[in-house]
Amino acid sequence: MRPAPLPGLLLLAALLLLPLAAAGQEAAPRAPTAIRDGGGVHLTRLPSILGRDEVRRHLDTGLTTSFLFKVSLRLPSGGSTLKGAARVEIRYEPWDEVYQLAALGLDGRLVQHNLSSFGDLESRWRDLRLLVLVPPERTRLGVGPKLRIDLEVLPFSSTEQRDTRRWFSESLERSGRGNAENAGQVSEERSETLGEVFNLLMATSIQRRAVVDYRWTSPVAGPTRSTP
Amino acid sequence: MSRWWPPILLALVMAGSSAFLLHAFHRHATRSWLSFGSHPETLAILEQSLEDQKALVELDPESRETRREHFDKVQTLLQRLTILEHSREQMARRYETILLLLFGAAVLLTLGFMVRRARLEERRLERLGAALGDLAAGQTDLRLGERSGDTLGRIARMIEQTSRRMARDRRRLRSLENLSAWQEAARRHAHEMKTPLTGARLELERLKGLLDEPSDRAAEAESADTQLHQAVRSVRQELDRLGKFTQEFTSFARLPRPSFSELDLDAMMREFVQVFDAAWPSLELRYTPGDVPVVSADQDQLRQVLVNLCDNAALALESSPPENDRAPRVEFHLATEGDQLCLRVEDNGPGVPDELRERIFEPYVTTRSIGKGMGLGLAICRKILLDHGGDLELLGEPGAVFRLTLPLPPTTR
Repeated sequence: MRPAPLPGLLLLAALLLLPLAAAGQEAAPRAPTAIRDGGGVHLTRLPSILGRDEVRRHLDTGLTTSFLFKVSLRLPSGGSTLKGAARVEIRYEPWDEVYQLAALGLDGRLVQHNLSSFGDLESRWRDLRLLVLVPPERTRLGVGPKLRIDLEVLPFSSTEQRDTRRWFSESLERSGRGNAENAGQVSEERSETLGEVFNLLMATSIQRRAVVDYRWTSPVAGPTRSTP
Repeated sequence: MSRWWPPILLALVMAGSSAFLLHAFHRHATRSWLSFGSHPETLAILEQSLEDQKALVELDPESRETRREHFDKVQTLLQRLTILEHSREQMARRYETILLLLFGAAVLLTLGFMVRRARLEERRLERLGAALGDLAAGQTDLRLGERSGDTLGRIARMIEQTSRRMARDRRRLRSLENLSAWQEAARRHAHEMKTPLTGARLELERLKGLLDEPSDRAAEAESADTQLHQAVRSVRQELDRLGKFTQEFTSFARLPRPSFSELDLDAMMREFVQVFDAAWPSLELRYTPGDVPVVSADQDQLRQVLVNLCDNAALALESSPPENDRAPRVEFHLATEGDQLCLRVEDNGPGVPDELRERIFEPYVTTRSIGKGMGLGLAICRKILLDHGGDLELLGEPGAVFRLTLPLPPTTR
């Protein structure tokens, strides 16, 4: 009997498993809309990512979740690249049970909202209009330029990171002092210095990393009527 | 350096294994330690505490501020624990890295210490080896400067003690040898002086007898006169002998510095063999010429050396003729060896006794019996060669084989 060719079997298995794998994953979020307006490029109609598992579980911790948009646009003439960014921060206040949203665009304008429900939060998120890129004057963006958009979701802010580092370091110090006193030892300067170095090294290992990131390429559309 | 690799590799393998075990242990332990804070039960209790604070406010609205304060504290703690949970992997890796670095540093320090210690011990062993070599070469009174109390230090001190003992024994031996040489010299001096003095004294007593008993008869007077002259001659002979003896000492003590001039040694040897052949009728002189350059030397002193060596050979061959009826002879071979000119003087006599070979060039060392030589000839010969920048050596058997060396002029080397 002639054996079945191995590549064929593998292809068949892949075709069978592909729908299963796709069903197990959520569909990729759509790209935000990039609009050229008022001499800058704005992002609007932000993708509905707040309800996604990988994001939602960080929103209710009471920590400040940061959404960092980074965009880049390659100019047709000369090949140089324009870069820009914007940031949105969401923090759930558990005592008052409100979501605090703060958006900061490239123009430095801070927009803040207190939202009483997650639905309001999602709605406000989608309607945000973020200035992410301001090309220099008389720069031609060309016809149908493509904006590259990277979105990083950071689970806590740098202030919270700093506060936790300090708290952790102080806890270690207290623990070290407690051990020395319990052992009836007189702490020497050298061991104190080494301990401080160790604490510092450990504390600085507390560092925020993106828990999820997205990447899109979106065409820059012409000016439209701005969303209120 | 290759002998260092096995222990270093072994140490590295051991260090690697230990590091792996430590890493595996701490990976587990560290993860567990960091997980305590973010244990679900801990988090659940804290979250319950938050709920409780809110519930308490509803029950007691006046305590709102206090409850809010407690709420914020718990909330902050919860947030910090959440951040720790988020950074757990990074913290664990950092902790393990620190431990591994500390362990690696400890291993490297240990290795460095071991290598340094091994090198130091190797150097100490080399010093001990060199000291033993010096000891074997006859050096004494060695100072190694080892103060440590370990095995190498003890060996070093034993070497020092041995060398000191050798030095002391050598001094004692030299002193005994000097004493013995002086005894021998005194014996020879006494004999050399006593013989002519005794002869002279006897002749003088005979003279006194002749003078005390004058004879009247003419014949007896003539005989007495003859005896008188004979006694005077004898006394003079004995005094001459004494003078010759003292002259020998004078020549040894006041050996002049060589008067250097260009000397064709090959021509000198040809002439010497031809002229001096008749000086020792019992000896046959043979010369094997060599292609040697002109050297700077004192011809008279070199001739004195050759005469002395031939004298010795003649006396030795006279008392011990060669076997198989071979003719007694002295052979001369001239050649250059390296940066020096060599004249080999070889006879077919009995050679130098073993017990005298080491000391044959010392004064008063001789194979001759008392009254037949002072044993200064070879000492004078060697002194002459040393003054020329060369040397006189006694080579191996058979017979007496001497080698005279003279430095070649720098341009001919």
